[in-house]
Amino acid sequence: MDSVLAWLIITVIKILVILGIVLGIGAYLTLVERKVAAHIQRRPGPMVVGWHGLLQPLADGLKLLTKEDLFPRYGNRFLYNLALVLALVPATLVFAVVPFGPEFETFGIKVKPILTDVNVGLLLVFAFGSMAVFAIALAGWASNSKYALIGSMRKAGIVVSYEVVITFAVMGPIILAGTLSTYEIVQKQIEQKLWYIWLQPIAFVVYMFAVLAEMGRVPFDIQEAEAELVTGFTVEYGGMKFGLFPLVEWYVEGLSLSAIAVVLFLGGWSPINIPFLGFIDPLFFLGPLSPFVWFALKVTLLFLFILWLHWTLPRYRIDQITSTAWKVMLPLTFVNLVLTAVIAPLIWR
Amino acid sequence: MIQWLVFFLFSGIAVLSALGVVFLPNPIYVILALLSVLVSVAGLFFIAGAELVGAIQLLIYAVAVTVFYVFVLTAVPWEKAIKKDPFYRVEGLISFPLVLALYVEMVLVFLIGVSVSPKGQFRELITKFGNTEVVGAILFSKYFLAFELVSLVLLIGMIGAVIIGRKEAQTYEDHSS
Amino acid sequence: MVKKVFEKPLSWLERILFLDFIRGLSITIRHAFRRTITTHYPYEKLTPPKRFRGFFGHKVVNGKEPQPAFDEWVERFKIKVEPGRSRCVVCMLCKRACPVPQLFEIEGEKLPDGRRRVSVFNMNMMLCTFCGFCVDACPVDCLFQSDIHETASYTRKDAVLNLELLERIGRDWQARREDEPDRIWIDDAQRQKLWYENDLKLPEVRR
Repeated sequence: MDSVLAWLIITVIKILVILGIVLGIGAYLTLVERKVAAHIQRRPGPMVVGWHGLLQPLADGLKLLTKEDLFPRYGNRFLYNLALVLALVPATLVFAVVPFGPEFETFGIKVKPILTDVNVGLLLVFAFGSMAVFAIALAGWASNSKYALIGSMRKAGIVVSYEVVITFAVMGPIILAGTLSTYEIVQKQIEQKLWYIWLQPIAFVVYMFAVLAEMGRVPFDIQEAEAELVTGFTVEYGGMKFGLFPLVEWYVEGLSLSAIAVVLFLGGWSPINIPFLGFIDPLFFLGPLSPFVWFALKVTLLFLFILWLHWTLPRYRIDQITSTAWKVMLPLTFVNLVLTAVIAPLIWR
Repeated sequence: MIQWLVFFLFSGIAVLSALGVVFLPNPIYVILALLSVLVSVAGLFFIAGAELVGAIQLLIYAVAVTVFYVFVLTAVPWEKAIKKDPFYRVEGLISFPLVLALYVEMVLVFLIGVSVSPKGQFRELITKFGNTEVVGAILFSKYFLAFELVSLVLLIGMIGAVIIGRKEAQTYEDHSS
Repeated sequence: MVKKVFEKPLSWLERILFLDFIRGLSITIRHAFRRTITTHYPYEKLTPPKRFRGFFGHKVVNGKEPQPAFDEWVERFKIKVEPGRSRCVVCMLCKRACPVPQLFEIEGEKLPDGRRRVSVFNMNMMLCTFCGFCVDACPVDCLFQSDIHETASYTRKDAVLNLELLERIGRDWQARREDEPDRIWIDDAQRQKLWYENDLKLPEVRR
């Protein structure tokens, strides 16, 4: 009974920590995004609220919370509100299988910094990740607006095609690691002294494309396409309900997909890897904290890279996006699968 | 104890939403009820320890299949979506005996399967090797023929879909010329 | 003769290594670490060029009137010329030129000595499109557009410019910028001459 109680307490603490970190960081990523975008366009970005705009997310949140809650006439109020829940819950559930660091021991209890180490973790990531499409489709349909409907249909089309691509892209690392558990994939990379990006560059590029598409980032942001669709499926939402969709789609989902990319291709919490040499850890002085810092650092850099791409590239057309998915990305992943099957026995020994 | 509670929770949700699938008038709500059935069944799989099957249930049925229903239905205008009278009443009555026969067959298969199933034979293997490996091993040894046949059926279905799609494109061209 | 220009197709090397992506990304990253070039608007304000089409004003009589036009118009209408007051000769040409004539409300009055003077000159800025036709039409270079561009107000009443305000804007502008050479843009040193820093305040600012 004691062990069950301890397990329960540890799980609740983990859930609270992960939710706090994810939603807090998600809110502050709005500031990061605005700063990055501004500096790329040679603007300083928010400067007034707090030192260099550090309190800007709070001000934005306050403003969004106190706004009037408008609802489109002839819309479906139940589905309109349900779409919010459907957007937020699967996106945060993905973090249940993201490993933040290696197992450690405090107060005599061994703690794995991962909520549930299921042995099909990756499948769950993609199942939950693509659940977001329901939220988008329902949001578009329930708000009774042409812009919203067109935006949601476009997004659903993208997600349907890139879901296939992303699933095949991650097959390579799965074959190399021989497991579907996120925690064990990282451990395998540490055991084999090899980040999988060195063996799977094609899969990594395809995965990054699919991440951009799933997040609705440029060059795949046709679901909001400011110039044509106002803001796509969020047109009819107001106040914090409007704020929630970009929060989920751009920040929470972006964080989770970058974390999964780090787990799959960049060796999770392991320090810098050079093939045939092993690991080099410039942060060794941090001691047991160093793996966590490495993980956070890699996720941050990857997310900043996504932002950098967003504010550089122009937008593709819808037919270019889907034809890239089916005619370029999917065959590339098949080629990559065959290559992986050839080299996998070399890695396994 | 906790497992039983969660089991009853999920099965209750599944049964309720299955009733919703049958009785709700609005097709969008029907699809949502279907989604809830599929997700709660995935939850049941997770409780039973069949994590792979649960995850695949989520990924294939709850997302990939249902998305297409949602995709089609969101294109339906809301005035048509809330139509109250049932469609195809006569056809439904005619097909009722066939559907009943299908259900009886499913129940029979289920009962026979329960009686001849390997009684916890794979439990040890699963704890030893993990869920995915055991499923893969069984699928590619004992049920290899069935697996290949199913993939053939899928291939035929795909070719059929391509042919139907092509035909429409051709008629469109003929019409425009 | 039409010159046909075709897009250069990407080479295979560029396609495989995403060279065009890398080129764009290198440009943006270089810009990201340079100095920002924006003006922090409510805290820093730029002085617009002299030709800026902002709020309207009346230039006052200060000896720099266009001659001989001013004397001719004064003679024709028997206008009383007072130094430091509006140059307006109540010719109504601005109202004629305006696409929305009802925004002007112009009246003259007859003084006891037989000379005339403008008494009411209201411009309703809610209707104005800042096209500047009235400025072109003014024969005595009285009505002009100043460099004031913060035109927001809290009430509709505050959007109406009356004669007193127009004269004040004109006096302020003449003191600051009348002698300035007419250029499209001005030097950084002249950005110091902000109307914001002068005494002139619009009604809504004063509150």
